[in-house]
Amino acid sequence: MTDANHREILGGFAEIMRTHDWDRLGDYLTEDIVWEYPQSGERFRGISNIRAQFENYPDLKPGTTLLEEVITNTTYALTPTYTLVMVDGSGDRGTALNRVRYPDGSRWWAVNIYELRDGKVAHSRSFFAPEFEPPDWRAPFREAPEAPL
Amino acid sequence: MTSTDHRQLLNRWGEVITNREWDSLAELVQPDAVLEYPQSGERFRGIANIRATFEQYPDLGAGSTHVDEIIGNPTAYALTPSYTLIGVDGSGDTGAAVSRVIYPDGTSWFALLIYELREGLLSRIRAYFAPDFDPPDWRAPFREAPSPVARTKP
Repeated sequence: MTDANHREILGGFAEIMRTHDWDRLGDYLTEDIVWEYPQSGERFRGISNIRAQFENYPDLKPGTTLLEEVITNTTYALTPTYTLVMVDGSGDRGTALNRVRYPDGSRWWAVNIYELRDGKVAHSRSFFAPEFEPPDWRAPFREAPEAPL
Repeated sequence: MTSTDHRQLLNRWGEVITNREWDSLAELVQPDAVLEYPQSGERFRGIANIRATFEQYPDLGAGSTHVDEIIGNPTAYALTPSYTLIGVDGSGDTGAAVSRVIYPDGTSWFALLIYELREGLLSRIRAYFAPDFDPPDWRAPFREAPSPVARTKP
């Protein structure tokens, strides 16, 4: 069960990632937000630093939208840059799944484990997971792989 | 389910994988559970197939434990060569777990499990695997000093 405001907050944030409307980050992130990338050990503190590391991402441009199917059965809007796929949250904590496409064309999943305060994201840990080829040794145990998600 | 139950269940999941106690999977996983790897589009249905994906993973051996610190948090965590639970955030029938995985080739990853429970057992797991990466130079002006403990190598 996901609180409606979780989807609104995380969806609003994803929309900014897609449109690059950085002036609106404060609608969804607290001023003193902490954002961590555990895979690299990086931590960004405060909305201006977080804005800067999004805004200065090399060659990232706002994208148009196309539709694709993700995780079967449900159709989601997928953009070249950043699309919210799922939110599971209640109270002050939640998890958001996003699809990210980078300027080099590679496609990744981004998993954000976040905490809210006063209706905004106050802490987020983002993890980035690249697509990979299904290995042959697992073929006997799986259903037919989906088309690349 | 309380969040304590979530932690117990996912802790046990980590133990079972680390210690290769495959017969114990049924204590944690519904017989018709589904395991998905969205990064590759793979889906494994049923506990026998899920077991096979772990049991037959090439060169994965049961590992010994050492203690390490993760994500700059003052808490010390047990880090094993194969699979260690770092955090669980769940309530009701859904949750997310963050684990540290070290593969036979020595690479360190985070494994994220987005899971659903049915009658207290895992019924659907979406697993995501996120490799360590080097902090890019262009972000240096905006960040605190990277914490080496978050990228521990075995």
